[in-house]
Amino acid sequence: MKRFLRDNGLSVAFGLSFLGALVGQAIAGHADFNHRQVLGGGQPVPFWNFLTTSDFAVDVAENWQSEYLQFFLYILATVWLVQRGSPESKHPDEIGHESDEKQRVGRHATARSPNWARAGGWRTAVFSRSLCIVMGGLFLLSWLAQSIAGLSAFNAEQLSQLTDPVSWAQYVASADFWNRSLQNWQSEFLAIGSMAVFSVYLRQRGSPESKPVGTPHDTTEQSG
Amino acid sequence: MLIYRLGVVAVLIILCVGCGTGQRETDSAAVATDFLAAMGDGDTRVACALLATDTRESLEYSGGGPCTSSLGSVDIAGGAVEGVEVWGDRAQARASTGTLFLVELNVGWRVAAAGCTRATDGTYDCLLGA
Repeated sequence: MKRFLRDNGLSVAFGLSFLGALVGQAIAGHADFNHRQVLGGGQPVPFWNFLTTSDFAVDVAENWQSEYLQFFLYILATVWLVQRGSPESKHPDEIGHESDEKQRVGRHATARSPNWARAGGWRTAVFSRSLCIVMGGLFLLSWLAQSIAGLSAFNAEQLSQLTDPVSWAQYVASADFWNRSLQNWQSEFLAIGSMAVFSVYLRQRGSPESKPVGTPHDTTEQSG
Repeated sequence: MLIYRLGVVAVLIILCVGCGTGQRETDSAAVATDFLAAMGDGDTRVACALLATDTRESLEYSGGGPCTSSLGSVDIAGGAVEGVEVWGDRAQARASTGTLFLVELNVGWRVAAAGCTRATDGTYDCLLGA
């Protein structure tokens, strides 16, 4: 058990942090929701009922989609874009998908390479992009969930204001949908851009997200 | 593994957002129908019982008397409900004589606004509950 926790510290710590934050969001969101319900002449709802409301679902989904978009774009962008001096970037000479030899696929696979890296054909092609496929797929799924839950929450608000509800197509073209999406995207892009630049000049001793402390600022593709 | 679980949760969110709207549409339409029938019959006692708390209190305040007498001076005709749309704890019922807006409270669906006609800017002007 102790060894398992040591070997999986990152996933366990962030998994628990995720659950803790989600519970916190649910508690705070419930209080906020009921406050708005009373102000709008509606009925306060019990905590467990709140968890099934579109208001809670859209708030969760809009954050999920932006996080998965962030990592999907970062993984994809770092194939083609570099940041000289950043440990998040590869060397400018290696822009692109790189050679089969460097990527250890097909006949360059080693005995311990994953089977699909060795198989060739469509399986290697899919496995070579599997991280982006899953991240991109989860982004699209979360964004779809945001649009559906957002539509329900938006239309409930419309009806409480004595206004007609809208269709899904109208909602995904609405200011509410894009405001929810873009306010999350801008913060993700800011954070990831800052990380790429800050990591050129700043260090965190012992973190693989940083270069070793004594590494020159212009050294790229090295983590410590 | 965590990624797959998150994916499953996202799918469940998608599937569950529209859960159970059929029964709620039927219930809200029934209340709208009963309200319009009561107004058509001049039975303000039944109609008042079907109003949302805020709407009834607002009517009594502006009418300067109990709901049953104040509602009698509001010109809302009876009529058949032709369609209803439910979103969250709110519903809109379209009738031949105007549109109603309803809210779901502990006691069930109640009329929040009635005698509403659509204005050119997309909002509704209502005889009751505006």
